[in-house]
Amino acid sequence: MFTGCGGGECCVRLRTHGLNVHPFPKESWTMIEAHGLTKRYGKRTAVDGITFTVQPGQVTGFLGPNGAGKSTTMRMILGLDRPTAGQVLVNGRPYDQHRAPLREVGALLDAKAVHPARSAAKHLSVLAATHGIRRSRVQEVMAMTGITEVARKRVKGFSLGMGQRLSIAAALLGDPKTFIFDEPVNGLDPEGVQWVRNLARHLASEGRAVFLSSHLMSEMSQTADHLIVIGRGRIIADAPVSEILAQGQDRTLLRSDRTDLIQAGLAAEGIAFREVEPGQLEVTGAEPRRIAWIAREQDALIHELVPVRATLEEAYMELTRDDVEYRSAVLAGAGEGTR
Amino acid sequence: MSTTTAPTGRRAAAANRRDQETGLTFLRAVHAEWIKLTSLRSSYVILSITLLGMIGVGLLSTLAVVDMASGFAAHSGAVEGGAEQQGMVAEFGMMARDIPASGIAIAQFLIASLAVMQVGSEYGTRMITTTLTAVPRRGTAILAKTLVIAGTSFVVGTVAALISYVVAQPMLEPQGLNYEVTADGVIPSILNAGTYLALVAILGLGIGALLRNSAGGIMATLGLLIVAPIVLAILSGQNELFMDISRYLPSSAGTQMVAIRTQPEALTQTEGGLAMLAWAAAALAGAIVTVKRRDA
Repeated sequence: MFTGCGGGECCVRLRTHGLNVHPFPKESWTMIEAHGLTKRYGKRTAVDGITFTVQPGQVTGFLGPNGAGKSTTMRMILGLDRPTAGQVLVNGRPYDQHRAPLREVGALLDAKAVHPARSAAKHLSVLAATHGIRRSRVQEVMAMTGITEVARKRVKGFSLGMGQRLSIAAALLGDPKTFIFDEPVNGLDPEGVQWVRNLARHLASEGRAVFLSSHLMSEMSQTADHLIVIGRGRIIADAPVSEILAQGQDRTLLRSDRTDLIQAGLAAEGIAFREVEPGQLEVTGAEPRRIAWIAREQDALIHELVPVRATLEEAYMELTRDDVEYRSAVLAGAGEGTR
Repeated sequence: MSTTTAPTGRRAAAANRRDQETGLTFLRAVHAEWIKLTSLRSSYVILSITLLGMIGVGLLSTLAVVDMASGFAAHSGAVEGGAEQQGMVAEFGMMARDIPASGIAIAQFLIASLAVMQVGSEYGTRMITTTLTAVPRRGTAILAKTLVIAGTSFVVGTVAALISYVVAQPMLEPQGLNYEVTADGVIPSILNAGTYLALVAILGLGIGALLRNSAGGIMATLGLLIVAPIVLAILSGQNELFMDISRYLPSSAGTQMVAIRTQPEALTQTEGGLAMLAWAAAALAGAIVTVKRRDA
């Protein structure tokens, strides 16, 4: 039987993350627990038996290419889609069995999931009414998200960014301990992206769990503490961002007039390299000092030596290389588009 | 950035206490649905047209009855006070009592469309995801919607019938056809006009939830209300059975519900009400089962 965190394994794991002080009671330490979660649509398996947990006090990035199963997983967490198999608990229970669901989880799944003819304030009032949330709270969340000025306007005329802010206001309404954001920065201008990033970090710093999906690694590197990487419905990686970063290999770029000599020296040492252009090499698996020594032994002068840190982007590409569902036409050699 | 989620101090403690009392209940879901209905301009438009349309049809029926009665008085060769004349006057009197509820003939289409849209538009705009996130107990969500639209339809139907009654009296008076609201069958007819529209609303909402689409739902519901009786009327020439089925269709059942008197072969008021109740209950049950089972 799969139960909530009873102070067992998951709490131990939490301590290893260095989070001993926590504002929320012990029994709700693990905010989201998925166990063997599976969703099939006919023959197609969208989510394939994934197991993971989302912890409080940090931003957990949910990363994967389009069509990897991120949205489906998030919809299952909220009970919108029923799992074909497995189970997912939020704060110890299935989402729909909470007395006050909006106070448990704040979700942004689809910024367009609003009736366009209703005003922003009325939309929030509807949601507040379902839980008897005080009216002043509606004003509060509108102020927090900066939509007070358009409160009485119909949602129909909202820009994508405004719609996104309204959805985030809705998520904040119940002051929940857990947040689920599906591609929250999609279509936002740089200022909006920065704002969402700060919000996610801030919510996590208050001890809340933030589960945030994106198909962009660069986004995650700036926001997330922990990453769950998904591809073709399966979890490829589940580790702290630093650990995933370490999987990407550091490289060194060098320029020399005698790259031929250096190539011979590197080959003799069994070090991998690649000629980027005449006079420039990219070396992997050796630090700059060693490369410089090899060049010296070969009597070749190096006039540029630049260490290149692996980016999260590259680590991600490495991880998902075999799991991208829709390759670009060029890579797949097919005549159709990416989808 | 201002994401402060709780004020400080004593006020914060009070606010926290209030927040602890928050939670999802059926009545709160009903309240939310009420805000949804009343925060859309289209609701007001449709409900106003329904109200005015019902009163308008009542007015036309009144004019028709008055016209017939005065025409009869002017041209009839019957002896004044004779049996034939008294019989006709009584006949006009009965027709006059049908006036208050006569508007349901048009109101049912508007109410059905509005009811379908209550749920169809949520699927169309994807608002349904937001609704079911706030109210994940889907039975509660559908029942709350049902209660709001059915209650509103009942009130609109009853009020419109009552206004039709009031408007008709001074016009009927010169012919001596006016009657008290307490006259036989009048109050039940007025209340049943509201009840029928409430049941039509439930039927429409159920069909809307089954089809998850406003346009399709409205087509299906109006098909049941308008096209089905016509088709069965044509078929009844072939077989008596179709005539029997036709009696239980929503529109015929509704006509019987508000009738002042019923023909012996037709359904009684109560039977009509039960038939309509069965339609509404079936649609609602179907809606709840499918909405619970399907992914949102």
